[in-house]
Amino acid sequence: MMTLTITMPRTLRALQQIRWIHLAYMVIAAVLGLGSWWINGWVFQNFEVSSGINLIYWPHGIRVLTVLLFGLPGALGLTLSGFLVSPSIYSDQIWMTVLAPFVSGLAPYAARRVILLERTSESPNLERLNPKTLISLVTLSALFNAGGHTLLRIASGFGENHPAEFCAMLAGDLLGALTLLFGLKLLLLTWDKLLHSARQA
Amino acid sequence: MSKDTKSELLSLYFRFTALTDSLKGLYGGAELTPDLEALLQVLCSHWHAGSPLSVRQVMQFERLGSSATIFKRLKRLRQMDLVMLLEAPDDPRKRQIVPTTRALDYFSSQALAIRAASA
Repeated sequence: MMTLTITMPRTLRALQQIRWIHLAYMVIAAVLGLGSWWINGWVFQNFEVSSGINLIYWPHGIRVLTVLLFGLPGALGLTLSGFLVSPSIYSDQIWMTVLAPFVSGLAPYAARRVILLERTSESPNLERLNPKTLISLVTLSALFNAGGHTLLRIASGFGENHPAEFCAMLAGDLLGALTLLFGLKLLLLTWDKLLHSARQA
Repeated sequence: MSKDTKSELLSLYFRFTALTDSLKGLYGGAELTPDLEALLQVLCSHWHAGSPLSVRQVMQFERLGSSATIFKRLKRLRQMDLVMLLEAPDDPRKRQIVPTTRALDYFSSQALAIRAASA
């Protein structure tokens, strides 16, 4: 006698593995993405060369750090925050509004997978991360982000001088992220010195 | 809190420490060169054996370089917060070189890396 077994589709089984902590990661990442974009626009508004392109864009550094800490949920949270801001940047460009957030959110995640050699699964504790891989990751993520945005701009006919826009976006992402990373480094070293002097006192 | 959530939060903590360690090690003069590492190993092995070296004693280690070079490297290690000078318990005039927690953390991470590589 033939028996019919009904199994849950693979996609639904994957959804079962989502825990509340991953949703929390998404919310934190979305808040970080949105907050950093707002602060950057407020502080460096004079460095904006074109709509959505800033010569100092440190939210890119925040995105890389967020994806390193929170993984794929972090990337999805950043994409979500991108959906909240893209209508104000690309007001009449429907394709840019819909697709650009995916590029912004997933570029650092793709760079993480490539640089940290995460072919099969995410490394839970970032064993392969060191200062050199961190710089490589930031650079590759900036390339993916600027390249993806430029391709979208070409495809949707948005913008004029695409090579110049690509260079400006790449420079902004790199400069902003490196400024953030070295700023954080100084903060951490100062914190260590304060702790050390407090222990000795 | 479930076991999975605890495990995930623990992973988050390890990712955070890996990230802060990488940030602290970014270029800008804080790199531990092989010369500095060799000196640090000598200082730490003597400290571990229970006989920490004084500045005068370490400057006599000719295989590590001239006394001026060793003194310069020792100063660099102090700036990098890897060693510190403490008064000897038996003689307050004598100052001994002892590793800081940062140096001990460094050797612990080296040991973990070796263990992981050999596993």
